[in-house]
Amino acid sequence: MHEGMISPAVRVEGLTKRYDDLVAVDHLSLELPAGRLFGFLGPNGAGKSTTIGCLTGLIDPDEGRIALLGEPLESNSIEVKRRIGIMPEGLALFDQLYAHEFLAFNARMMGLPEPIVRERIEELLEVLELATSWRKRLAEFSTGMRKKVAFAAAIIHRPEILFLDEPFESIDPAAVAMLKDWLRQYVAGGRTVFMTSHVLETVERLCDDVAIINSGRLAWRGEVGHLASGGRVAYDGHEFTTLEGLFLHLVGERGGQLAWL
Amino acid sequence: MPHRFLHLLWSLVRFRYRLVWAGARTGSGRIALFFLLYVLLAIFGLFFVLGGFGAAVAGVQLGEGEAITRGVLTGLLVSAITTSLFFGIGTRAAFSDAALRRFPLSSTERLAVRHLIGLIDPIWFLLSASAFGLAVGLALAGTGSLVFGLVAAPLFIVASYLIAVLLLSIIDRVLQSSAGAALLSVLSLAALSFSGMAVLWVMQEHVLHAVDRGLSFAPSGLAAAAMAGKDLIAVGLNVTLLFIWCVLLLALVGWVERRPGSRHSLAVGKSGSVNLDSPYDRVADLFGAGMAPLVGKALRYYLRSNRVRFGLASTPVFAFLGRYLAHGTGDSFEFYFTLAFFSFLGFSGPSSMALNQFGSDDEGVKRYAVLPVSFGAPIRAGNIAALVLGAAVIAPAVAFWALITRVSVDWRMIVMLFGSSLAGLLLFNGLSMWTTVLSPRRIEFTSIMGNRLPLGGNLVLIGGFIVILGINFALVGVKLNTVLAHWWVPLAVAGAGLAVYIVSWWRIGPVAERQRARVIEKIVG
Repeated sequence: MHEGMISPAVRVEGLTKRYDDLVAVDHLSLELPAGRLFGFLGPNGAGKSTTIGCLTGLIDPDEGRIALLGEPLESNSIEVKRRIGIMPEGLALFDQLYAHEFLAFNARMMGLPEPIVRERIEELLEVLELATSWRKRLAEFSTGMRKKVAFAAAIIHRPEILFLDEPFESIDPAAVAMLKDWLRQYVAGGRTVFMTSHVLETVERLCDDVAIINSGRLAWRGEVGHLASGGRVAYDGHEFTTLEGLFLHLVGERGGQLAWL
Repeated sequence: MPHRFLHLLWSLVRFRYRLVWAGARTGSGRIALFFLLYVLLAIFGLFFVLGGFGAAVAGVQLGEGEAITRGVLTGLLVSAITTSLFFGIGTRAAFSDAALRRFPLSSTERLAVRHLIGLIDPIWFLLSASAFGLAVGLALAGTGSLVFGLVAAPLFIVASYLIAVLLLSIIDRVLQSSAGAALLSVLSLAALSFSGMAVLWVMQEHVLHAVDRGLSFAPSGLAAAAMAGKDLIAVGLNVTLLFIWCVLLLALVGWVERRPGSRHSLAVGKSGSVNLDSPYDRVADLFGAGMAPLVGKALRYYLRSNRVRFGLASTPVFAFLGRYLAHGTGDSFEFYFTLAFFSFLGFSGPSSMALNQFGSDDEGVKRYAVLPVSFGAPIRAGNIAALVLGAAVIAPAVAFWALITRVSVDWRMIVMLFGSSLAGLLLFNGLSMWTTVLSPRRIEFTSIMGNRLPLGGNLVLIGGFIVILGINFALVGVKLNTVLAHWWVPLAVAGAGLAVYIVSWWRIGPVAERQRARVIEKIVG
């Protein structure tokens, strides 16, 4: 890196991951500057979660290079992981721990000093309305509550990049509104969010940048922030007023009919 | 029984075996499955011809057809129960009640579906071979009705299955309570302590006669009378009573299974604030800031597992084993047995989790891959937890042995028992790091009974028993004074165990990193 150049938060070159004959991610290249809220979209099985898995060190890619915050992930993964936060697919919770124990585990693993661990856990449990659930193990939590705990674990150490896989699914609308505010505040402070979602309306209103992948390949990449204020996106000779229109154009509308229904 | 229910039952049975077939996806997996079926059929034939038919014919020739049938059936019942209790074979439901709720089945139908599918587990198939063999043998020898025999045999198997399920359900309920593990451990200790006296008491003629008379009202006695009886009215009555047994047992199983389970309360601060300074964390802090969170998590998992709690609470059994097994053979044998069993003392409690550390992490296993640690770190941390818990029981067990033993205690014996315990603790914990990585298996944290270990874990346990037997064989015929003169040998073996442990600790990191994707796939699925 030349002196004076600011490293992109995420840089991916030729990322490829295969599962037997299936190419889940096919030579994907992306660059994402810091301080952006980035939406990573695609239909089911497009390779979104595999990509996040590769970016966060959960899955080893077959080919390609990944650098987060200017550091190559392969050679410096432990130091890089300290600077990122993750809410992975499946949430990766330890079901036999209580919420405060799980958050303390994550905070301590990230090297937070003990007074801050206590302060943040109490605050997070209170704000996420989990404080009354201290007497339950995570195995007994509802899907929405589990998601809140996983979100709290991802942000507790104030990471520089936050990777969120379907963050708003199963969470109540009031909590979704609060999380959106947090994410906006988060990127305003120069940090980066990389999230997947199937809720296109939310992505359209929340994200600055969007990439759409289909069958493991990058299908489109561009800014969408202006769509919410009546702007348009031009692509392939068409003009789209919504992200949904663009998405359906890229991945193909499915017009199957069920005659018996 | 409505046609809809039967159709759904049949679909679920087919689905279960499709899953088994899908599990044997590879070519070698299918060959293994065919081989297993072939072996099962061969054993079925052996059970039928030798176990059932042979016993029936021999019984009739001795003029004791019914008594021998009753004995054989009681033996089958006891085998079925012990196999189910200790190895978890034969009572595993293919589908949970929750999984069956998506189908249009009432709660009674769900209960019936689960247990009808449980009944076609191979163990009951083998036991039914003996029961049917008895029925056919008695009929061919001219002592019983083939029709009633063929009705009594399956009813007996159903009753045996339900008794095993009932016992497991009760034990499961007891262990779900916070005091359950301790209670069951005390009961086990009491059973072990007094079983010798109980056997002697039963062997008295009048007691034996009363037990035999009592057995005639048990499922095995009723089935024997139905198979071997000639009076058709009495035979019919016995079959009816056997049927009533089955209905009552099914009702009891249903009642026990529907009772809500108790939950554990947690450790939060008395003031109601978050308690982040628990004893788990204080112990974990001894191992450094980098390792402490992982050790703390592992300690919580170990000590919240009722299986591990039961294992730890049962360690005083080890002090009893030598005295019990060497009954009447002299002081030296009692000490040799104790020395051998103590090599397994520290590892036995945590072993169900230590041999397969990621087994009950479920999706949580992914967390280790995204944390700023190598994949070997949680294995080492889990191993530290197992080592701490195992080491904690050694001194009390040695002291307990010194209190209850009939052997005149010598300081060298104490040193040898400590040496043997440490050797086993280090050696088996060293090996468990490898089984965790090379032989991972997803398991239910809350399941209590049965063998939940992966193949690697079972191999280590079998190896452990071979070590115990080996120590005994090595010492047979050696005088106690000679053994005591070599009091330092167990300490030297503990040194070798330490070497295995250190090498495992050192080498497990790179292997775990290479196996990470495979381990996660095996656990998460």
